[in-house]
Amino acid sequence: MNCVEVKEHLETFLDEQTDRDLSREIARHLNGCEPCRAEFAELDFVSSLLKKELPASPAKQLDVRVMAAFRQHHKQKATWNWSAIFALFFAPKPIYALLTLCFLTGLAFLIGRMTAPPREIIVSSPPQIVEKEVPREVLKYVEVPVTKTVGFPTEKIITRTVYRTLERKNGTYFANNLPKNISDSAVSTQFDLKDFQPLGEIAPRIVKKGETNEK
Amino acid sequence: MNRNIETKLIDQALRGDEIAFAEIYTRLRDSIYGFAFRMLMDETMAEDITQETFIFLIENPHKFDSSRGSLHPFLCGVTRNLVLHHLRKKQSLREDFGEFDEFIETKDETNLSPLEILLESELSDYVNVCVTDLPEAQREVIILRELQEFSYEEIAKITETDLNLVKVRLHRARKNLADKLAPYLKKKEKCNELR
Repeated sequence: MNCVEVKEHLETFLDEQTDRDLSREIARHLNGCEPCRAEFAELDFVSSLLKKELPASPAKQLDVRVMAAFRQHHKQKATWNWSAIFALFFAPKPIYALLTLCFLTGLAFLIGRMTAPPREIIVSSPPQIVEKEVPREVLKYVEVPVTKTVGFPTEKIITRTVYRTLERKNGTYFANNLPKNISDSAVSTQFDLKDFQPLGEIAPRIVKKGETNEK
Repeated sequence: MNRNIETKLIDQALRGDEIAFAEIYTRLRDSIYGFAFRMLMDETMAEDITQETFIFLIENPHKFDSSRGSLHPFLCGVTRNLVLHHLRKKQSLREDFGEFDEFIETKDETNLSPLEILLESELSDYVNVCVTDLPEAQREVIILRELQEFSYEEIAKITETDLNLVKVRLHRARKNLADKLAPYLKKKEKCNELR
């Protein structure tokens, strides 16, 4: 090993963190190299100074304080346990019955809420096909409810209706820019009205200019 | 401490066995105190930190995972965090009360020449001052290595840093200390020559 390599491992050698073979090689080099030995001696001197200056043990009062904290902690735990057991064994029977009833009612309510299907609350008119007469052509519109999911578990609330133009393709009416699940944040896609509502059952309604906000 | 014995003692202490806890405390007390003392150079504060460390163990025993290492490095990690918290608090107080800080600085021994220090105090005091003067990161690694004799890997775990960074910090700390203690080193060499 040369001096550069030895210097690289000198501190790990001092800290006894090198493996046996490397330690042996470094020791062999140090025996024959004065500058490296001097450097090692300097490191060793600093290390020995630090090790020599170990602070004394803490005051005895610290022992008393720590052990008192330990006793206090376990005493508190023990006291809490006993009071809980005492309360359970000596509570009057009506309190037991009341607590059980409250627990069961709460549980039933929670299960009911969790398993209930989403409720749909319609706050505006149902969707229907409407017609609007404009010069030279009759345009069909559909009123589409815009829903919003709220509450727990979930409730769909129709917040408003929007109007979309209908287009006839291969005997089926399509409404452009209409997603299947319509919400305020929905992105527009084509929507097959057959899935939405049978066209034949809808009584067309004439919507005069100014009756709708959106066209 | 043997790992099996340590685990057994901890289990017993958790169940409220005072003797088991006293055994753990007695074995690790001096080391924890030594680390806190060297970091702060304040006996009272070091005692408080030691007490807080053991109270942390009493109140949060589940935070120690024996599969990740022994109790000693774990407690040193807790002590380190408490010490750093204390130092940050002290630092912010110093920033708030700058004048008070200046008053303290005038009493700082590091401004004295080596000869004055030799006259006024022992070498050990000067070593303590040199260690205290090291930056926090260097101070903790040199204490953990030289006084606590932890391996590099253990120091990396305690200080939550990389192994290479530990080596670098240790090297810098040693270099800093060697520079500061150089006059004494020369003196020692002269004594050796005379012999």
